[in-house]
Amino acid sequence: MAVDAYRITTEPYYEALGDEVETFAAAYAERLPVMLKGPTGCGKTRFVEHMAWRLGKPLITVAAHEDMTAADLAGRYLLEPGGTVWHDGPLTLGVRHGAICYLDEIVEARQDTTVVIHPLTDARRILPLERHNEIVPAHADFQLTISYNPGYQSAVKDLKESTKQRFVAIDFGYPPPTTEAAIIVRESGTDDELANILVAIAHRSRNLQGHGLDEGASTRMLIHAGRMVRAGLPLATAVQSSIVLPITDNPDIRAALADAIQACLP
Amino acid sequence: MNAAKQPANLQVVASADESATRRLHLLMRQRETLRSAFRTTWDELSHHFEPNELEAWAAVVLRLANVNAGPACLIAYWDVSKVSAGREEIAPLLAAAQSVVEICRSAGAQAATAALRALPVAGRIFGSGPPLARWWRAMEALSRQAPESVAPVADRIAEILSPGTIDAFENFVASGLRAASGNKARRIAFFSLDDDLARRLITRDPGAVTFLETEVELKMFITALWGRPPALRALPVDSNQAPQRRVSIAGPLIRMPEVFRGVRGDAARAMFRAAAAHAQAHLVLGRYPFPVGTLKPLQIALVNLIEDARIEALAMRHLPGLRRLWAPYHVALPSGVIAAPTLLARLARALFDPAHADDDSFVTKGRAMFDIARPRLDDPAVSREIGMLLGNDLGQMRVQFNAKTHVVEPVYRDDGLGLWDFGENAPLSGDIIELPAEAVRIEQQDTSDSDSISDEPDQQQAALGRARPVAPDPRGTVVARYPEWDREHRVERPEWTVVREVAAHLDDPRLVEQALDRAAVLRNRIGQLVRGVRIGRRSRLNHQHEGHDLDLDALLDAGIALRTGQEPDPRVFRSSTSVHRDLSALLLIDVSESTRDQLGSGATILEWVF
Repeated sequence: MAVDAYRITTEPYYEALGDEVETFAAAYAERLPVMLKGPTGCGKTRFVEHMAWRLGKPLITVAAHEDMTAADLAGRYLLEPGGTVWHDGPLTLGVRHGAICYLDEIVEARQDTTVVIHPLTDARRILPLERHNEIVPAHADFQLTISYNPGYQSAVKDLKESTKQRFVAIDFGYPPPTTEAAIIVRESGTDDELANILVAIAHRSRNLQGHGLDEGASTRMLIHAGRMVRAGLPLATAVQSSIVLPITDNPDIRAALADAIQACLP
Repeated sequence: MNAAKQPANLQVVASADESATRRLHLLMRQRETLRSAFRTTWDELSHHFEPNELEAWAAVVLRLANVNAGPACLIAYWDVSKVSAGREEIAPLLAAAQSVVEICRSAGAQAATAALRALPVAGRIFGSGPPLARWWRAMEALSRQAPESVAPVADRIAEILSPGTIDAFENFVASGLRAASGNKARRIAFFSLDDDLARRLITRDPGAVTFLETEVELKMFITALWGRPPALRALPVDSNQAPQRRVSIAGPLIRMPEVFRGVRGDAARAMFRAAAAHAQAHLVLGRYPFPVGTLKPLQIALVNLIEDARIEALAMRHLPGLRRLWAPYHVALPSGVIAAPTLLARLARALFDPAHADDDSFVTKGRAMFDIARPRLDDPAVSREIGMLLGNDLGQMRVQFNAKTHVVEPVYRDDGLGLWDFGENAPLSGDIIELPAEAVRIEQQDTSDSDSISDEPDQQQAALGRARPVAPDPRGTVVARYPEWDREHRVERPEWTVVREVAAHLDDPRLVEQALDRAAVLRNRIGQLVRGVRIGRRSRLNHQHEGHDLDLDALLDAGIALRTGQEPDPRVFRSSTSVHRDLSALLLIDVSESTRDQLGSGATILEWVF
C-alpha cells in the first residue's frame, strides 16, 4: 500500500496531561479534523505520532512554510522521460489511501494555500484536484490534523475564521512541574534531581515570556539539556548551550536569564 | 576625499542655479562679515572633498543659516569643518551640522555655537564613530529638555567628559535632569558643575556601575526569578558623606540607589542583582504593611532583620542558588565590640548561614528562636514575635542603639521602612517616631535643594506670591514633579504637576469586556485594517526572470511549450519579497480636565469614546 511507509511501528512515548487522548480518539472515530494548539516544544507532534500509533494508522506529516503552495500539498504534473505525469502531493496521498495527515504549523502557510483543506474538513470530505481534473473522495481512514502556536504568530498571521471553525481543538500547555520532570527523566535519562532543576530553570525562562522572550524554554529544550548532561557536559554549560543561547540573541536577556538560572542551581 | 585637488574658485562654481553651493555662495556675497571667513573655509574644503560632498556641506550650512544660527555659529562650524577636513570623511561633519540645527532650534544660536566649540574635545575623546553620534544625540536631547543647560555643559565639557565614556556622559545628563526635578536654576547649577552631586558624578570611579546602566538587565533578572516584573526606580544620588543608601521599598515600587559606592564592574552588577532580588522577594513572599503599634525603634529594626531572614529563607527554598548571590555580603565576624550595629549584623549572618559559628548569647538565642520557627516561616507573625523578644533582650543588655544613624546590614538589604504602616495616628511617643522621622528626614533631604532654589531665581515671581506647595496626598507614590504655568495667575508654579504611581484599581473584569463590547465596531474596524494591510507578510512572486527557486508550474509550462515547438517563457523562477514592515502601536489616553466636557448628548468625551 502506498502509505505503508508512513506507519509507526513502535510506540512513541507520550505522557497524557488530561483527556487529550480520549478527545483525539473520539474525533478520529467521527473523522472530524483536529487542531492542536500550544507553544513550541510542548509535545504536539509527539502526541500525533502517539495517536497514529495507537489508532494503527499511517501518519503523513507536512511542515508548513511560507513558500508552500497548494500544489505542494495536493500534487502537480511533472515532466518525466515518458511524458507529463501527475504526482500526488502528501495531502492527496493521505486522502487517497487513508492516513492521518498532519500539517504542522499550518499558520505559516499562506491563506490561499490553506483553503485547499476546506472541502476536506466539512461534510463533503473531498479533495478537488483542479489541474488533474479529479475529485478525490477521502478514504474512510483519512483524517486531517493541524497544529499551530497561538503565541508565536503575529496579529496578522492568524488562521482565517472560516478555517478555524472546521476543527475540533485540543489545547496544549507546558506540563505541570512533576509531570514535566518525569518526561525529562524518561526522555533524557537524567535523574529526578536534575530533572527538577531543569524544570525550575524552565519556569524562570517562562517568566520572561512577554517580557523580552516570545516563549520560554520548551520541554524539548529541557530534554536536550538533560541529554547534554548525560553526555558528560557540566550542568551550567549544558543549560547555556541548550537553553540560554538558542532562546535569545539579546545580550541583556541572556545575562538576566543566565543569572536567574544560577539561582536555580543548588 | 582627495587631498591633491586644486582649490575651487569662488567665481567659477559650475553648479546648477538651484544648487546649494550656488545659493550659499550668493548668500555669502551679501554677508560682509562672513565673506572672507567663508572664502577661506571653502578654499580649504575644496582641497579635500569632491564637488558632491561640497554640495552636501553647502546644504547643511544653508540649513544652519535658515535656523538663524548667526555668524558666530557659522564661523564655529566652518572652523570645525576646516580642522576635520584633512582627517575625516565628510559624513560626521554633516551629521554634526544636523545636530547643531536641532540644538539651534531648541536652545538658540548661542547654545548651538557653544556645542560646536565643545566638539573638538568630544571628538578627541570619542573619535568620529558611534560614541560621538551618541554625544550629539545627548546634546540634542539636553537642548530639548533643558535648553538653558546646553551652553554650561559645552563650556565645561572637558571636565564633564573626564570619565571618558559616552555612557558616563549620558548618565551625567540624565542624573542632572532628574536631580533638578524640573527646576531651571538647579539645572544650571548642576550643569555648570556648581553642584556637589555633579562634581561627584564626573569624578566618579570610572569602574562604577550605575543603576541606569544595569536597569534593563536587572528588570529581566527579577522578572525571571519571581515571575512578576519589578517596578524599579532610581533614588536620587546621595551625599558621599552619608552612609551608602539602602534600597527602599515604597508600596509596589523598589527604589534603587543610583550607585553602590566602592563596588566596581561585575561586583557592582552583582550587588544590584542581590539588592533587587531581596526587595522583590519581600513584595512577592511577604504580606505588608506591618502595623507599627507600640513597637520601639530597636524592636522595629529587629523585626525587620527577622523578616529579612524569613523572606530569604523562603526564597531560597524555591531558588537555592540565591544563597550564592547574597552570601558574599554577610561578612560580620563573631568578634569585636558588643554594640547594637555589630550584634545585628552578626545575627543577620547567623540566621542567613546556619553553618556560621557565633557563640554570642544574643546571637545564639536569636538563631535558636528562628530555628524553632522554621516549620512555620510562611507565617509573617514569626518576624514580629521574635523581633519583639530580641528587641527587649537587646534593650536590657543596655547596648547603645541610635535609630537616626542605624543602617541595615548587609548592604544589599532594603532599609525596611517600606514594610511598615506608620500611619497618621501613630502614637507620638518620642521613641516610636524616631524611625519614621528618619524616613521623613531622608525624603526632605531629597527635595530640600529644589525647594530652596525654587525661591531664588525669579524675584518677580516671588512678589506675585510663590506657588503653593503641593498638598500632601495619600494617593499613590510620587515619582516625579514638574513645574506648570498657571495661565490665570500668570505664574509658573514649581513642582505643581505631580506624577503618582498608583496600583491599578481592581474591579470586575467584565467592566472591561463591556467597554470593549461597546466599542466593537471600532475594534473590528482596526482588526480588519491590520489584517488587510498584510503587514510583515512576504509576497510570493511567480514567473520571475530570476529568483531563489524554480517555479515548477512555470517550468512545466515552458517544458510543454518546448515540446509543442513554441517559444518557452524564460520566466521560470520564483522569489519572494517583503514590502511591508512590522506594525507597532501606541495608545495614548487623554484624561485631562477638558475631556470632562459634556457633549450635546450629555455624555463626556471619554464616555463617548469608550
